[in-house]
Amino acid sequence: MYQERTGAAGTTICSVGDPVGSIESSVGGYWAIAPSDAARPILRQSGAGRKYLEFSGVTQALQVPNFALTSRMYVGAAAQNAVSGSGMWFLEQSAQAALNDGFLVRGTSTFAWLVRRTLSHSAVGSGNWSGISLSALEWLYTTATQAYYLDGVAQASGTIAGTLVSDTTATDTLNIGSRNGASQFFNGSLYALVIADSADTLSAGDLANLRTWVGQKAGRTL
Amino acid sequence: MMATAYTHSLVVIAPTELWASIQALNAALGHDVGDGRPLSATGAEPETHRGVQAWVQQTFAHQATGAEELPADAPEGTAALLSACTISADELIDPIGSGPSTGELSTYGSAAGHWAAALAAAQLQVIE
Repeated sequence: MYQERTGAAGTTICSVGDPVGSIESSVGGYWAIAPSDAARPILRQSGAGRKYLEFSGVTQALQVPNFALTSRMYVGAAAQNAVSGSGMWFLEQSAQAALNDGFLVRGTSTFAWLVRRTLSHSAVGSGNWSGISLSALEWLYTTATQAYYLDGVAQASGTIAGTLVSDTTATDTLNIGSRNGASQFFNGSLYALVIADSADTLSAGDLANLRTWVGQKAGRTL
Repeated sequence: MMATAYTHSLVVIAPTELWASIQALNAALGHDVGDGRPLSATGAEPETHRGVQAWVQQTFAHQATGAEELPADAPEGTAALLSACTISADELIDPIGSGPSTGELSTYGSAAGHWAAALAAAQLQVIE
């Protein structure tokens, strides 16, 4: 994690309170890069000692270029919504959202996962992501059925008709904290993010470990 | 805990026609301010202003707001450009990082609060 927006060429390691220009994923070799200096989220630390990224809802965002997806995924995040406002987009694979495709979490007074244009991105069940609580948000798609979880509690599930866009689109930009890096910026905190592709090949133990880790980052037992 | 140098939230709002100059000034200082957010009185097109909130170091904030003199090597026209903008700064309550660093600001509470207050004072809204 570096202050510079130069990925692996970064030299200034972030301390608490510093702007974060580049973050390397733990696996996969991906770099999340802020699109400008002003867009860099800030590394903060809670009273409980947890570190997180602060997004102010103005221009802070990260982008992962050439992000490859497969159709079967596990996405888990420990995040906090600062306000129950509307129009904040938390995760988006950019070009797909213009077609209401790809995947995203929209941090409104409810949270919503959108996976394919055939699925509504309105509120998912009663899975409210409201107020300011730190929550574990998960989307699990390992078979033809997908399921959404809030703090480990299944909110809704359904069968995906047809193929996911990621079946036919190899790579795209992953936006964290904005819509396409240009609007609807996230106002909140990100404590952890896991995106595991080929999730249908994960062992039950590996999947459980991922979910446990996300839950721990959110202060939950999943 | 190591103290951060980024102790100030800075909000800059400029008439749209000056945003390129704001970008050029920042580039000359080694910063990329980005495209900012389009603004108007109603939140609808046409855009009249652009604005941005960013975390900066104290000297930068003080020079931008006029609390300190600009450096002698500031690009020509900097003072005039800044005077044409609406600029405000707010400071972390605990800049030395002696405890949790949650980004709490002295006046506006948070960076989002600072941005909202600056927009309200300028009677502008974001065009989404």
